[in-house]
Amino acid sequence: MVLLIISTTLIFALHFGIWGYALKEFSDESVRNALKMTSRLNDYEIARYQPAGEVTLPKLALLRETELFSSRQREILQGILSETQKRTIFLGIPLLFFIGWGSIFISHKIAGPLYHFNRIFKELKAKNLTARVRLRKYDEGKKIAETFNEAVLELDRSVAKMKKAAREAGEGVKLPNALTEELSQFKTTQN
Amino acid sequence: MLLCAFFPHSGILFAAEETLSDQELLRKIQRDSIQYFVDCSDPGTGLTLDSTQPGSPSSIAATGFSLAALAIGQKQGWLSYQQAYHQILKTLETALNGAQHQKGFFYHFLDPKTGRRVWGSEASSIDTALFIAGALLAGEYFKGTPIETLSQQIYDRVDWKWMLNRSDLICMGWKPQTGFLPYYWDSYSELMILQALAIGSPTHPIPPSLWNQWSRFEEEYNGARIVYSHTGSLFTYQYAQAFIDFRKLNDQGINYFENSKNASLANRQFCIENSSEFLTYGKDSWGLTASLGPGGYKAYGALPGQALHDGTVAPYGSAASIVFTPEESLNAIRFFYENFRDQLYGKYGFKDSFNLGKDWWAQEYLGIDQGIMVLMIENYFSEGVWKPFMKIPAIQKWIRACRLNAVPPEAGLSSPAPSEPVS
Repeated sequence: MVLLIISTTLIFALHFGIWGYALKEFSDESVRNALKMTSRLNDYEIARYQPAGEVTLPKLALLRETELFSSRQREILQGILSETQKRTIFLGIPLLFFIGWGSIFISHKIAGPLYHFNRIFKELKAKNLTARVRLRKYDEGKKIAETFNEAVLELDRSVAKMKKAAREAGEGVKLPNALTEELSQFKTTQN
Repeated sequence: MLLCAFFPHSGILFAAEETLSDQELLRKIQRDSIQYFVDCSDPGTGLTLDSTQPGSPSSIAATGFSLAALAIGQKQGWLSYQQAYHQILKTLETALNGAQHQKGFFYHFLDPKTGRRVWGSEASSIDTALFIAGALLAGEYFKGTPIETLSQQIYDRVDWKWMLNRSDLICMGWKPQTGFLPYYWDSYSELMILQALAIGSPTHPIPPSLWNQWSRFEEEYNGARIVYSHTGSLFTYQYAQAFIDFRKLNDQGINYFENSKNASLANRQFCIENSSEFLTYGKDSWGLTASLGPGGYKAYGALPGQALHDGTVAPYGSAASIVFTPEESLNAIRFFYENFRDQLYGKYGFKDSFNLGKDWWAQEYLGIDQGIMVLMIENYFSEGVWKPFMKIPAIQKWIRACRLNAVPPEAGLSSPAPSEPVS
């Protein structure tokens, strides 16, 4: 849950951070300022570079300004891309590490109990009723293991009782060999 | 009386505003203008905004003026040593390691936060020179500190020869996509600071003979022969002389200090002659120089030269001529301040310009325009830029190499006495 919240927050921060930056650069105010600055910088160029007496036609000035403005827009886009790259690296890489570490942690929490259950099932198959599932502190499936252990314990006790009853019946009662043989194969906590 | 009872200091303040002496007024302008460089420089990089217009990039020339202004501000006690030192150091570190450049030439406009080239600007020779001049001056003010070392490293890195583009003139700039610009510094203008630094460079100097390659067009106006810039803008007569003390230098019979004095007087005279047509102009309202105007930024100027004008006056124009024309400049400053303070004066000193005929008032401050006023006022009072700047070995080398002090003043060259500051 914590992993999910952190990962989601980071992904949203990355997403909205990038979009927020892009939208800010293209807000009405920024574009208005950029247009004003375009005109100013064009004026600077004319003031410095235009030979004496040469007059700039209004259309030519407009073309120059358009060129300057579009070059500025390209710079802004480049800035957004490089900012995106930077943010992806600074946020994305830790996020990947975090997700990777989280995945390993989660898989261990699940894979560990599954391994234990598998082992215990094999023990049961070998008629060992003393086997119990023992999980680590942070493992998933503790409740199931508890119920499972309780069920096995009941079975263990039941079979132990049957074994005891069979023994105590002794010579007086003739039990089928198959039953005695079958019961003797079970390993129980109490014989 | 009632107002004074509630606000006991207000009366004193108003009275103080009204009775500012010339010195107090000039220092106020200087101090307020310096604040531009404190407030409008990026705290992370130290790069200074071109202007107060929202969305403005940083300008490398304005950043150069910033270095000089901060050093002056510290000297005057308006900024603490630590504040000035750290801002200058940060700026120089950015310039050396973070600001985009080509063979040491900085791009004209940079992103204030990153130092990356913006607006497709050119690697600019003059703007780099103005930055280097400011940096070297700061190095002199903070001698023996890393500021001096870094300034020298930045200067040493500039490959001035490369900017010649195999010609005899320094190119105005270079762009990655198109190479060298088709414009060269070919005639008298602010180019002298660029030439001085290029010839004086300890690492990549250009030949001293190139000092003679640019044209010095002369024309008579207002009873004086003036070597003029093609725009006739006042700033072209001021920028180099904000740093270099030309009073005792002569160049083939030309004294550029005297020349700028004549150009400033011509600018004023031009305004007087056109005052019937343009409401802004007058004997105390002059200063035709590159500035904002009702139709955008223009290289306004007077005769001799192109003399583009439309009634727009920039207070910084006349104010920055104070070393050349103390009386006329002071009268203009006082006229602007006393008559148009509400519209024309703000938190960073004089706003850029105004035009009474069109009822137009600039709402902005431009870094280089605030900067030139700070430097020139300092020169006026104490030669506070000239003295340390003239000690720089590169400047001494340029003077020797171009034989600018070869002829003594007695030989008939005009060599004005230093201006008397108003106390």
